[in-house]
Amino acid sequence: MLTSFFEPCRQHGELIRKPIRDDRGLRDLAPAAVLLAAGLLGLIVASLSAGERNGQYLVIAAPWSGFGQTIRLIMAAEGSFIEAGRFGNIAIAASSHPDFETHARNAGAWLVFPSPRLAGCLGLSTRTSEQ
Amino acid sequence: MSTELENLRARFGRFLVALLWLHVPVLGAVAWLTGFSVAGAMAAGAVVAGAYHLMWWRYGTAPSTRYLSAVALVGEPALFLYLLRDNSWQMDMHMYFFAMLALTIAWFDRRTLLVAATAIALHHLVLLYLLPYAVFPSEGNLARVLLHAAIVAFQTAVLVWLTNMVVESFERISRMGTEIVAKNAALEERTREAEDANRAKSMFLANVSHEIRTPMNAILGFCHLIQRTDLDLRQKDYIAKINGAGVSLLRLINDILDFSKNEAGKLQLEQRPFDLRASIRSQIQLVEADAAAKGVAVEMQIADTVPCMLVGDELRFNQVLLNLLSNAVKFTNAGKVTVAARQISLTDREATVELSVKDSGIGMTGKQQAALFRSFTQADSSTTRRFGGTGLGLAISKQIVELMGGEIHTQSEPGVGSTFIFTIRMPLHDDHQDNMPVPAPQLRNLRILAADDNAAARQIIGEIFRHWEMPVDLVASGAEAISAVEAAVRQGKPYDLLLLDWKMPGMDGMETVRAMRANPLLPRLPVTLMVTAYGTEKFAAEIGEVKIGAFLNKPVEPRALLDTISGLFASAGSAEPAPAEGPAAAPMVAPALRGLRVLLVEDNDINLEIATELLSDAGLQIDTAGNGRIACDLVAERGASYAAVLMDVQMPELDGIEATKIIRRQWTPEDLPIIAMTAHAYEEERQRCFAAGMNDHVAKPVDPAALVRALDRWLRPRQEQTAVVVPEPSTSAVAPRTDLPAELPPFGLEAALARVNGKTALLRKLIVNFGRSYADVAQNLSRMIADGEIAEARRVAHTLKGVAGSLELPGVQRLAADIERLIAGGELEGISGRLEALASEIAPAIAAAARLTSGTAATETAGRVATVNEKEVSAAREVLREQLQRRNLKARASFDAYAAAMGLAPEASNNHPVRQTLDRLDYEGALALLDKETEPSAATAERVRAIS
Repeated sequence: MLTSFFEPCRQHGELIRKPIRDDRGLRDLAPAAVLLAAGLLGLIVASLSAGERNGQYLVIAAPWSGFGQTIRLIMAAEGSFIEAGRFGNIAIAASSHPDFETHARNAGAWLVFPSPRLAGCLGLSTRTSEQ
Repeated sequence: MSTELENLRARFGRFLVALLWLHVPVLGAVAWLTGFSVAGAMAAGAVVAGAYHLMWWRYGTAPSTRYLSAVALVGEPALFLYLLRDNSWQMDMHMYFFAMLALTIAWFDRRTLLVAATAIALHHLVLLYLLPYAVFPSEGNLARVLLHAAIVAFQTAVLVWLTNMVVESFERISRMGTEIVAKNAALEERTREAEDANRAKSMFLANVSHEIRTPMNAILGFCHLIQRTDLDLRQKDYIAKINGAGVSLLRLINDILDFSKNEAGKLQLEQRPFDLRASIRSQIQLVEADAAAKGVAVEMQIADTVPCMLVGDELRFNQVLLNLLSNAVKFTNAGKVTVAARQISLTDREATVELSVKDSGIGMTGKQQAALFRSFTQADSSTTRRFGGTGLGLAISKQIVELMGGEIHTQSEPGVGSTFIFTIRMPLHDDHQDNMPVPAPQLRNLRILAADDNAAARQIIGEIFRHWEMPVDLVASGAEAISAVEAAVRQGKPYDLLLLDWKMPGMDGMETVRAMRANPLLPRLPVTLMVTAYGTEKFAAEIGEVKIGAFLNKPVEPRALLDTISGLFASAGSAEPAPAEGPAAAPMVAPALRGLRVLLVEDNDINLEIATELLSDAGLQIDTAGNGRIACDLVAERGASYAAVLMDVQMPELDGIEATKIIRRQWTPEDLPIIAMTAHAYEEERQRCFAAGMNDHVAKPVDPAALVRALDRWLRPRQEQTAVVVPEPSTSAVAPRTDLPAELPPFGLEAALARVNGKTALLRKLIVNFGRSYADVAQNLSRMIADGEIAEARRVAHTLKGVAGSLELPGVQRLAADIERLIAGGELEGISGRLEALASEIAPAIAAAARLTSGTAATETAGRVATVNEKEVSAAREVLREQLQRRNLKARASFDAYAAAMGLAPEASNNHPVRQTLDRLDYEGALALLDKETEPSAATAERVRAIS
């Protein structure tokens, strides 16, 4: 029983004589690609959503939004602009309002997260609160 | 793809299942330590492990599984990195990426490595650079990410290089493996073909040798006969040379037969008890004459620990020893040959004995020794020219020794001599004491003197008597013997027995006896036993008026010696010389055994009569039984009164094998020996007899001497025996009657008479009975086969085979054997031809037998006898006509049958015009002559009737 747990569904001897499936080129890469994409996406989501609730938020607007639109969006949601991201649709906002996330989404933000702590290869990232 | 590589991948795939599932609890533990959701971490680990496990289960080691495993393996450090992101250990966890990347090499697939490297790069780029850079532009250290990427790329390159090398090596090994397997298969095929060819060659040699032996025996036999006729000196010389050449040729053929038989795996060793010392002694005696002629002394050194009785093939053992001894004598001039035996090991069941034959001859170089045991090879080619021989002797010896579970090797030095050493491993004989001849108590006190000029012969005789605990004095010449006899008489202790070698330098045995007779100091001479190595005929011619007690042939067999001494001193206390045992006397069992009762089981009247006469002549009392059932009843009723049972094998109602099995339920082989008497000469038949519990086997046609030897071997004197009636052997052997013609073709009267101890009346009766019993045997057999009485037909054919052998009708015997074999094998289609051949082959014998009853034996006249059976003649003529028309070579045999039916004497038959025409293979001419002869035959018949 335990042995069969580690075995492929086909007979071991058959497996040894010949690989179960022939090389089908890129199609063979599909399961790996799916797992890789899902894994990366999962990690991105997990990284972004693991911020502490300290009144600071990561606001992501529509990709075509500029800094002005993003700042207006933050202001409309009764928040204050703290720092611009690399792109015009990303910014860090602060708000003491408990419904800031809802308000910001209503104002046109696509995603609103409590401000994340993103680590690079070196280790801890710079805390936005410390800036 | 290499199987080895696939094996490795399969093992690694299995290992990854375990490894990835093991990460699940570790992830949970790390999450717990770092304050993350344990369930979430474990769920993420389970997704990774589950995804791989699913692919592995579904696709095994397929590329898709391998690629996915690369992502899964990289996923594990990525998860750890996420869980440790606020921790100082995060940086250290990067090393786990390299470990996992290195691990993927175990797939031995560079694409898997590249997938793993790509996954690491993407992870770093997206999560450790792009994401922080997107959110916090001041973050995202590209240089570091690039450094990591470069290291990963370098590691990947190294691993790809390594993978390629390993894969290439595996593929090369795989190709080599495939080639080796293919070459092995081809090699095996070639070896098998070579072995088949060798076996076929050996079988061919064996068959051809066997076929050549038959005519060779005839050549030698007729040489022997012609030497006994009046020949002038030149003719004698020619015949002697023909005989010598024939003997050499026969020896060579026998060697080839032995060798090829063994090569073909057909040489089988017998398993019978034999006396090792006696065997060695007898072989020494065989070479003694040659050794003495060359001035070579032969010595024997047998260690006391060597067992007396072993179970094995004595004949083959003797063959090996004789070959080595002959070689030793051949290659030694005026030196010494020593035969030694010592025990190497001994268990409860078997002994290993080492025998060596050492000579002080010419010796051999190392190169010569290396070629010794190969077939058709001698030390060098000049050896063949100088010393003769086939070069097969040592090869055969090696084969035999190896069959006996031993080995043979040689030690030699040129000019110093050679030693041939061989070992044999043989079972010990359990009750060896029973088989050793033991002298009667009254013989133990005899005073014995033996004279022989040969030291080895003296040693052998001395050992024999010492073994019997009988004192013996040994001297080396006739003159010394006379002095010793005189001295003994002077001391009042005269010798009772004197053993004299016939041929001695100075005064030979005969002269010694004459001198003793003429010696006035010797009023009473000891009983003299002459020992000769020169054959009885020559000895008998020289013996003349010299009165001696008996003579013995060399090699001296202990049993024969004891039998002779027992015979000479049979009447207790009498030292008078007994009459010499003439060569024509009927062979008798040992004196102590005479008067014993044996049960003879035989269904055929003719065989029964022969065996009864032989056993009666041998000094035994006989009860008879017609089949196995009667035999069992008789044994059950009075088995204790029988000393042995002589059992035919093929009998109606209950055959010999079954009867033996029944008897053996009550009687052990020691208490009641059963000796098979059967016309089967095959080893498997003999084995069947032994397996059923029989003690021995005597082949039919029975050789009286062989029968008596078998009886001597197995009969035991009865303790309670007091006044037994000893049947007197018939004296007809020395006074042949005249109621049988000198010749009666096709019966071989001379040999047949020997079988019945020279009893012409008995043989006549047997032939007449044969004529009556088997006149219509071919028709009867044909009818039986047609009626489905197969078993009965087989029995009749078997019996005919035995009877024809006894009456020396080899043609009939052979055909009967063929027919028996065909019936036994169920090959009834081709049997009619054989039956026809039997009818024509047996016809002359039946006709000859009929002539005996009519009182007109064949005469030497060229005319026809008066009692021609017209019907028989007509039948024989028709057979002959048919074969002449078909130009069949058998026509000559048919003519013989026809001539016999016509009552023609052999000379007339040979001179007959039809026969002479046939000899020229002129079938048309012979047919014309036969037809011409047919016309006046009616007139002849009328004349015949008028005469009668």
